[in-house]
Order: sequence, then C-alpha cells, then structure tokens
Amino acid sequence: MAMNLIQSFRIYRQYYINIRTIKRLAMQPASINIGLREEDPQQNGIESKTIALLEKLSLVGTTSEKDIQTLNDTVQFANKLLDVDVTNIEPLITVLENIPLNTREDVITLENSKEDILKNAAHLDDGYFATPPSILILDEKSDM
Amino acid sequence: MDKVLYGNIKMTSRLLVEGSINTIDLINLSLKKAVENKKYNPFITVTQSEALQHSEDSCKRYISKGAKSELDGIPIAIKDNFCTRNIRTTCASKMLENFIPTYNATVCQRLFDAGAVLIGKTNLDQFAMGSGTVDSIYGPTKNVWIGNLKEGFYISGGSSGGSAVAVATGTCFAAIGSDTGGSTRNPASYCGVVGLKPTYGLVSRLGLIPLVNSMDVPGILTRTVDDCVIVLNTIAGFDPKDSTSVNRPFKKIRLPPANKLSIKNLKIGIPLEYHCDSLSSEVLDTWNDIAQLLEKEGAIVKKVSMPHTQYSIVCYSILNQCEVSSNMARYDGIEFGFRANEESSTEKLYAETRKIGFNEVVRNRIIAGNYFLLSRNYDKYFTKAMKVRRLIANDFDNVWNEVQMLLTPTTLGDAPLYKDFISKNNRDQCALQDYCTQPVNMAGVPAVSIPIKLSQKGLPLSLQLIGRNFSEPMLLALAKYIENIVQFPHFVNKF
Repeated sequence: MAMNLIQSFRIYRQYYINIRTIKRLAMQPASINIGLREEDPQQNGIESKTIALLEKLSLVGTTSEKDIQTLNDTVQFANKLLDVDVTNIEPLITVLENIPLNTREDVITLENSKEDILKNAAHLDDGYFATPPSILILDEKSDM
Repeated sequence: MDKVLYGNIKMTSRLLVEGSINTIDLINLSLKKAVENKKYNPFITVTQSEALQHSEDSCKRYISKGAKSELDGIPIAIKDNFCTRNIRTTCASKMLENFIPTYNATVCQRLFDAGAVLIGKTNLDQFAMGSGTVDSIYGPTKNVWIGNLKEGFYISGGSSGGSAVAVATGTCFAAIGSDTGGSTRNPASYCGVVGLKPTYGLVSRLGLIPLVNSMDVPGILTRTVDDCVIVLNTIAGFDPKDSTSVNRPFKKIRLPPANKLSIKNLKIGIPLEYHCDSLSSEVLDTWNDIAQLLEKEGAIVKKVSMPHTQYSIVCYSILNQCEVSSNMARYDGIEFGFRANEESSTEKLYAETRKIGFNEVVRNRIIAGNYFLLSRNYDKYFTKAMKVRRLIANDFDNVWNEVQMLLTPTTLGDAPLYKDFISKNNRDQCALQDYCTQPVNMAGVPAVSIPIKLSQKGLPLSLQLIGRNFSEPMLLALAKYIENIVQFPHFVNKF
C-alpha cells in the first residue's frame, strides 16, 4: 500500500506545469518518461505453463525465446497502467455508448451467392468448406 | 502536360468539363507516374486495365456532359486493407496474398459511384500494424523527400505509407488510408500531405479489414484541404451495412475561400502533456510559431491540461492487442486466405497456417492479446484499460468546455532514417511514433494533420488539429486557414 502511494507520487512528480509561463506560449516540457517502467522486483517473467496455454489459444505456431522476451517486455510495459486510479470509473466499451444501435426489419436482403462465398477457399470438399479429418488437441508437450 | 497531376481536384475537374484535357490522357499520365515512382514502392497492385477501362467510361460521360461529380475521372489510390471487388486485397500479408474480395468496401463503392478512377492498392504495414510501412511482405515504402542517400532512405511513416507517397508524388490526387492509432496522420506528417482522421462512426467501415473495431476509421490523404473536403463529402454518411456507422444526416461541407476565413475569437487549446521529452526542438518551435500566429490573427490561444495523456499509449497498446487477438481469429485457412499443407489435425492446420500467414508483429500481438484476456488477467488489464480509456475520453470532454479545438504536434519529429527506425522493435517504435495521435482514436474524435514547413534536413514538419465529435467543418476550416498562411512547399512544386 505504501509502495503504491510512493509510486503514484513519483509518477505525478515526474511532470510539472510552470504556471508563470501561462502568458508565454513557449512551454517547459511536461517531462514525461515514455520509456519502460522501473523494474518491478516481483516480476519474474511469465511461467512456461502460461506460455504453453497461450500457444494453444493463439494458434500461431511455437513461441521462440525472442517471442517470449517480447511478451515479457509487453507485459512490463502494460504494467504502467496498474497504478492509475480508476475508482468509480465505468469501462468505456465503445465511444458510441450513448447512441442506440441501429436495427433493421428482419427481412432477407440476399446479396451473397454461394459461388462468391466459396470463391476464396483454398480447398473445398464437394462444395463444402473442409478441415482435416481429426481434431487432435495440441497438448503442452507436442512440438509444432 | 504532367503538371496537371500536380494541381487540385477542382481545377482538374474544370479542365475535364471544358475539354482542355480528357480522362484517358489524365489516367495514362497517372499510370506513367506510378511506374516512374516504383522506386518508392507505394503500390502493391497497380490496377492498370481497370483504370484504363474506367477512364474510357468517364471520358464518354464528359463528352455527353454527364459527369457524375467533381471526382469523375480523377485518379485515386486505396490502401490495400480495403476490399475491392475482383482486385486482390492483401493487407501486405501472406495470409491474404491471393485473396480476391467479391465486394467493394462502402468507401470504395461511394468513390467509384462518383466516377473516381482507381490507380492501385497501396502498401501498408501488415494488417495495418505498425507506424512505418516497413513490415510488409512487399518491402518497405520509401519517403519521397531526399532520395539517394548514402545512409539509405527515410521512412514514409505508417501504416498508410503507400497512400501518402501516392499523393505526395502526384501520382494520385487523393488516397484512402485507415487510422487506428494514427496510421493516416503519421505518414501524412512524414510525407508532407494532409491527413484526416474523421469522427468514429462518420465514415463506414464496411469492407475495411478490421484491426481494432472500436477505433478503426477510414482516413483521407490529399495535398490540399479542399481536396480532402471533396473526398470526405463523397464517402461520409450513414451506412446501414456498418453497425458502428452513426445514423445522423451528413451535411456536405462547403468551405469558403481561404481569404474569407476568419479565426477571430476562436478558442484554441494547447495541451501541455503533449509536450514530452522526445519531442524534437524543431517540432516544438513549429508548434509554438503557429500558436503565436493564430493568437496574432485573433484567436484565443490557451494552455489546457489533459492529465491522462501519459497513460494513453499503454492503454491503447493493451486494447489494440486484445481486439487484434479476437479479430485475427477469423484467419484459419478454411474459408479464405492462405492454407498450410498440414492435414494431420485441425489445430495443427490452424497453427501452421497462421505461423506462415502472419509476420512476427502480428503473431506477437495475438499472443499478447490472449495473455491480457486470460481470466486471471482480464480485469487487471483489459477491464482496467477500458476504464482508463474513459479517463482519456473524459480529458477530451473536459477541454471542450474551455476551447473549441486543440493544436498539437502530429509526430515527435521529422521522418527517421529506415535503419534508425528498425533499430527499435515494433511496439517501442509505436509507443514513440503514436504518442500524439492515438489518444484521438481512444476518444473517437476527429483530427487532421497539416504540413507546415520543412525541417533543417529538408523533411516535412506537420501539426495536428483536434476537434470534438462531428466538428469536421470547423476543423477543416481552421486547417485551410493555416494551410493558406504557411504555404507549405509541396513535393510536386519542385517540378
């Protein structure tokens, strides 16, 4: 708790507004550090079990050491948000939240043809989209 | 004769109506220019036969005095993440290398209905992920300013770099880009052209291959503000096929001539927090100069504060990666796109297809997004980011109580050299490049980048104007006012 307060204070102290220059338009830089946050001593990097889970969810092939390092950097970068006070703030899901969603009558406006829909498939089976016959779930140890 | 390409749309349209030039000659000139400028690599596909066919149709219309609009016969370019019927649309990826859409994106359809002639599909960072147009399977797009360097080339900016270069070189009068975190304004800034990001919901996204559904918008790149207005008038307005398109009547914008514009008592804000460490002194000076100029001309210029600006880039980064991991799930090789030769199981097929079909940047964003969306992380990162997004949007709402528009930098400096740009990884680079542009996407408000002057190196320096939702008329009026005063030395003026 004390750690959070000190960190918050540090962040806010990082930039200052020079009130005396309100008349002059040449400003002092709001000294904001957009580099990486200071190393959080508890952060050890992501567990290999989680990496395996992510591989399974992402289905983009195996993650290299470089990919894992990139992910760790990304998470460290994202951790800068953890200190922001969002008490009583609702999530903003869409900027159109105050505009009712447009609806239309439930009538068919058939514009698609079967030919168009199938046209870009690399492989068809008798006019059907087709996947390989077996769904073998990738287990943690399987190597791609 | 080339010179006609370097003018503006209104002038060219008049010449076409008068018969001083005809569309077929105009389009042939444009296609020739596309070949001359191949060294900058702005186009993935040049639609030569389609362009010639459409130029003939347009020519016939002019002869029978039946031109469809001011855009009839005008050469344009479209970023290769907009679907164009029967013309391959690749997103600069192996995944969609051979994808041929069966429909036109609404933006494209509206332009074609107005008679505009497509010269080609332009280069971009793969799936619009990047700010340099360097991560494309077709190679990087090079900035037109200062060629033949020993140290290599300057980047065009991204991800709509190809569109910016197509316009800057005079190959086209206008180009369509997309803007999720600055992808239209960033290359506009580096290439010295006008780049507009319209209000979210003003322009249809139907057919724009999605990156971040809650932030993507089609963008416009032109050499002049007037040309930008002509294009916006053609593409803006409700589209029932896009559920995020706002159903409100769009009134075509009519800007008076520049010398009739007045900015007296217009309230313009300078957000302090946009002045960060990495801002170059040249951009700072330019920003200062224009602020003082506007004040001299009668505007009320004041400092404002947007306290959550420093969190915007992190927040954007998280939301971007989360939406990406969801949007990219459609690419499985089954219904369309690249399909790997892997038949042992469905999951192996998907994994192999996506490993080959996507580049490293895309794959890493998918993985990161999935990390933040894990149940254990969902509230900590994704929900948190959505809450911080509201704080950022509120910052904008609050300033509109004090001022009508904001004046900020677009990019933190002039265009970097390619070798310097790639020395940082994609995410770190985006954090720097997108600093002033992405808060706008978080709030959904409109913004325009206008070229002001050249840097000491001889590269364009631009500034950004931001307005409240649907304030495009005022925004573009102020942009035109500034454009008229600064008289930026366009690249095409050299010829």
